[in-house]
Amino acid sequence: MPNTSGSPRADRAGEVKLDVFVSVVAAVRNDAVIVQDFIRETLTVLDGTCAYYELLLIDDGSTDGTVQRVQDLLDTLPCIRLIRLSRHFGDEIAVYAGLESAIGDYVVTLMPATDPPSLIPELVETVMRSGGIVIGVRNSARREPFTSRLGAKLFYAICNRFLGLEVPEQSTHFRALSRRALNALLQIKDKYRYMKVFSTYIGYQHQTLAYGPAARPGSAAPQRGFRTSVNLAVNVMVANSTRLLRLVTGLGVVASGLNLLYMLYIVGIALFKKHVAEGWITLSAQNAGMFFFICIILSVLGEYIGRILAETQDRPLYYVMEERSSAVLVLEPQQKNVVTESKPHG
Amino acid sequence: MPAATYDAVVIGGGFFGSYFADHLARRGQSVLLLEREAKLLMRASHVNQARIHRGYHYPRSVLTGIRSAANYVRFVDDFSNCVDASHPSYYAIARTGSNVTAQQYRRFCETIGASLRPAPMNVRRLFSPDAVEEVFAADECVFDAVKLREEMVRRLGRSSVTIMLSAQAERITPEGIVVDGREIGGKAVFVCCYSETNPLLQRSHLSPVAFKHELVEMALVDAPAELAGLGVTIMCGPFFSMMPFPTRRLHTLSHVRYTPHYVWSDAGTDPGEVFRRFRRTSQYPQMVRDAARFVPRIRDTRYVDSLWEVKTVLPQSESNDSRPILYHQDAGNPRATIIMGAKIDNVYDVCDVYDAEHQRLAAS
Repeated sequence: MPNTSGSPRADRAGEVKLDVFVSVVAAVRNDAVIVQDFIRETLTVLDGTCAYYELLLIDDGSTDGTVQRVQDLLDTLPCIRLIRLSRHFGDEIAVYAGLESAIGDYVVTLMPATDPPSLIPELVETVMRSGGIVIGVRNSARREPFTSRLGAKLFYAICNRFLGLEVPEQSTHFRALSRRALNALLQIKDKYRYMKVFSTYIGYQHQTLAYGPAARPGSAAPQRGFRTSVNLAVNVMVANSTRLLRLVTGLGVVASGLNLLYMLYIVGIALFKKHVAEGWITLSAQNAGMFFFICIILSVLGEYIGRILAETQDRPLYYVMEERSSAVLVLEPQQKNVVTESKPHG
Repeated sequence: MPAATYDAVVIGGGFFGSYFADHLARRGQSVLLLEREAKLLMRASHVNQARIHRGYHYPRSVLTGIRSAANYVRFVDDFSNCVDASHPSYYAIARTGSNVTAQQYRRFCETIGASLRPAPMNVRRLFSPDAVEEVFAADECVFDAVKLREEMVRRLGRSSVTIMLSAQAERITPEGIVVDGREIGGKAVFVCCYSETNPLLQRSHLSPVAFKHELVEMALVDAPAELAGLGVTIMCGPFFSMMPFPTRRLHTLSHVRYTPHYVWSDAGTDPGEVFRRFRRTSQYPQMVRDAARFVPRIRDTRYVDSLWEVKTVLPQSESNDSRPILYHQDAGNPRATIIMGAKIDNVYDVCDVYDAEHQRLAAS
């Protein structure tokens, strides 16, 4: 391939641009208000920094005319591609669909509502130096309810300390990947997808870039409900680590050991004590204890069996409804507008 | 008074026009063939993948597949000296985004009677298993555009067709045509000039035909040793195809997404003007990067040049694989017939339609 050297190339206007192909992947959903501004801004940034680029918009089941807004620009602006998913699949899957279709040497993912396109050059330059992956990290805490913040803290603590997953705190969808890292990422075919985990799981060199997400004027701030967050956290923890399973295995072993001891105690009592009557307290305490353990073990097993089911079903992650691309006619300026003869009209 | 009168005037010396002119002449008619370029078969007949379709391309339309398979045999037999069968051809099915699965494709090829075998291991290894479900070896030839031109010139000479080169038909008249200010009589006029059809009809004050035009680019590349001489096509969606281009000992690289630069329907735009003034920025960088996702070695192709052309298609062939040919008797001028084909090998359908028409007229 001719343009992967990374050396700057001067374009027609004489500016120095990065001689690479950059794909920008953005998932949109009901973003009709902001999508046109976002596209214009992103293309302006890309046009000024790289020799070749594409902007891949993944429509994740919009119902508010986002598609029409994008279509309007396909006829006037170059290098846009729109992939429409057949229904709403969620950000993770939408971004994955974009990554699968991106052709760039470097790929940047972002969310149009919050992530500033003006940082794309910095991300790309950083990833070009490392050849791995750069992860955007929020440098200001979001204004969220106390429970959500506490939950998030707990989640990151469990992931990073206990489960052995490396999940950068406050990381966002704003990322840049080299082709090498992207190919590694695409080989992960898990049904439960959580890019924050995958990004570090694949190894390579990963760096973080702190930035302040700014809500684009007119966009509804993406808020995740508490319940959704809990669901997501459970999915991430169960899908990416077997340590929870190992924990309850240990719990089961301890419980059965205790039971064994208790059986010895019963045998001892039976052998050496004459009048055995009461004992309701010990009996019910043992029962309750055992059922407590069994229930915990079953619930964790249930989670894992659910995951196994999802993986064995082997369904496609997403369905594409249609794909559209820019079709822009760029004419060279008319050479000369001179006629050699004057003809009478008619 | 016209300077001369012919039984038939064929406008457009591409493969369709030339073949049809020869067909008419061999039926005893006096034929004049007009071509705007300095040689025959210079434009779309030259600037294409040089693929002779055997139906492998149309898994969404069994009918097109069967017709292609039949015409393929006829064409390869008819032009055996212009056909290059030395290049193996492989069709691979993409894992995501394909309209057919490997299983469906196998069944389709069985139905249309086109042979399909699993590709050998050394070829399979060229494809990325993550992106490609299955790789098949197919029996499909390419034609050599230069040899085809020489053959057509030979045939036209043999059947005494009068050829006018660098000649532009100004308009069609009720008596024939006007070329460079000169009137030439023609009992029948056949228009085979694709994107130039509507400008000609407009100059003749005839109503235009609904066409769709695509400004297309095929990249000419020098393939790395492992891929040299191979024809590779990824089915069936927004994917690429790399075919040997015997005339220049290179390969053409074309891509469903990046080959058409601009698509428009006829209203108000002069295709010739668009073709001349379009800013020709090659989309090879896009093509090669997407192709390398399926065949990693394509990364090492060397870009040489691009072939540009206005490809004219019928709007109805857009939504499916039906690829019909247009044979349209003009309403305003009964002498004029507009012919437009889509693939080089379905020229026989046009000749068959003409023969049937002719017999019907002779009988009545």
